[in-house]
Amino acid sequence: MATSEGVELKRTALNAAHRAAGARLVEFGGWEMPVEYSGIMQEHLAVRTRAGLFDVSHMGELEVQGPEALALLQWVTSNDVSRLKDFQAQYSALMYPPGSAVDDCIVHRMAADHYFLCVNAANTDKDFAWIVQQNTFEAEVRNVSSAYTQLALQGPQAAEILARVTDAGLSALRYYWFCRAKCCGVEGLLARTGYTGEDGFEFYFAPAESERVWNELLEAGKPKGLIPAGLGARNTLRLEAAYPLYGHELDEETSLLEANLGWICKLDNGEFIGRGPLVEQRQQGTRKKLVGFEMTARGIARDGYSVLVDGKAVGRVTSGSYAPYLKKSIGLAYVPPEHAEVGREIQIEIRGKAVPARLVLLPFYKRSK
Amino acid sequence: MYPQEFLYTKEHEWIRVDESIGTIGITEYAQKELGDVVFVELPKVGDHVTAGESFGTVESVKAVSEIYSPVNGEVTAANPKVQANPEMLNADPHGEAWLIRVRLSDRREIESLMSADEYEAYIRQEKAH
Repeated sequence: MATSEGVELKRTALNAAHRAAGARLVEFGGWEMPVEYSGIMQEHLAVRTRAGLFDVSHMGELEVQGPEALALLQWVTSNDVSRLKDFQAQYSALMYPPGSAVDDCIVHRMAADHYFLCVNAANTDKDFAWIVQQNTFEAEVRNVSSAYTQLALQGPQAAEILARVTDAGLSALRYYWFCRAKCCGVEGLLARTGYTGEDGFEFYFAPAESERVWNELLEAGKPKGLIPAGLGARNTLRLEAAYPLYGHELDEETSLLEANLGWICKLDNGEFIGRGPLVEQRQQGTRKKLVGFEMTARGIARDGYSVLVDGKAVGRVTSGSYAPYLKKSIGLAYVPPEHAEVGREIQIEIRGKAVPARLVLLPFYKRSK
Repeated sequence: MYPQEFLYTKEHEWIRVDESIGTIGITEYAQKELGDVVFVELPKVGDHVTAGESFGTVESVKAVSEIYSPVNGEVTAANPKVQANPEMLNADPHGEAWLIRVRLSDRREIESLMSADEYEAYIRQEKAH
């Protein structure tokens, strides 16, 4: 399989296993990835009610090390890295000068002078080049993406399933913390993180024994209803949870405040790339705001569709889909702040027709603790 | 798998013609390609459909797909069950989940469509791509 440009797609260590499992494989971010196995609907519901296992090895991993590692990360990322303790993780963004994101990422602190970043597949090379360019601090920066398989085990049964195959103390492992652990006999980093809106774990380990770990996890989870899940379900799950996806809600022209990510901006705690414009926007307001909507008539909003207010186009849908768990059609869109209040009636232009929708509170879905 | 009494298009629709009435649906191959169907939009009775042009939309969780008419004609029925229960298209695309019935303008139009054997050969090629 090749892209339209004829460039060979990258394959994860589990490519053969996905084919054998009957997955439909598609191009995503330069990788050939499973989009679905048994069907997006079934996989989505499995993650909401039981558990799903995702191969997310396309995600990139970068390491930043040395006495100046913290200073470099404080400069290139929006969140306050100094607040992290060893083996704690933080959602953050790599920043461009206008206050927009190079990428969103998770920063893991291994030690005071050693950090591990998980970044988006399609952005890995760009992120690495940007950090290196900004590295006047002489920290050591390495792209270690090919050294890791990354699996995500997600769902209300994830902890119980994982407990059967790991030596890690899972009840002590809190949300956005991680540890060194053995899963299925293989050493790696085990983080209580995810992109589905459910409890769950992400396990990073050397690719050599990927198939064995994948198969043993599926086997261990079978009695609990665990099934493999693809990027299709990952997308609908993250949309219900209203997590942004780079290239949709985030891009180089959208500021973090516009994307509702003010909570990951350390605006009052030191300088970082893009801080100035963000501080200005905090005072003066932004020109657009990310909102959630649900369709109130039949129709599904899709990425790129226009948002109409009184028949006039005021914004654009960034992600839209049928939501398998909520059983309605939902979406995220950018609109001017004056049209952004919850409850407002809008329309989505679907194939030339204005279809009614209503702005709703985000997230669309939040799990009960 | 593909009924002998149907005729098929390259866009993966089927038509079964009884006298001057044609029943139109999408094929098993099409429903598999689409994945879980969650939305079906069909024309109204009395609307005209044009050969080779879109008459409706089928959406799965991940994609929007136009449905093209194999023939020219006037819509005499649109399946209300499949609009209310789009998932029927995944379960029974060649049967219960037919989409529309049309009164054919010219019965000779169907001569250019593929037989079941020709269609099966065609999708084998598609899959090899």
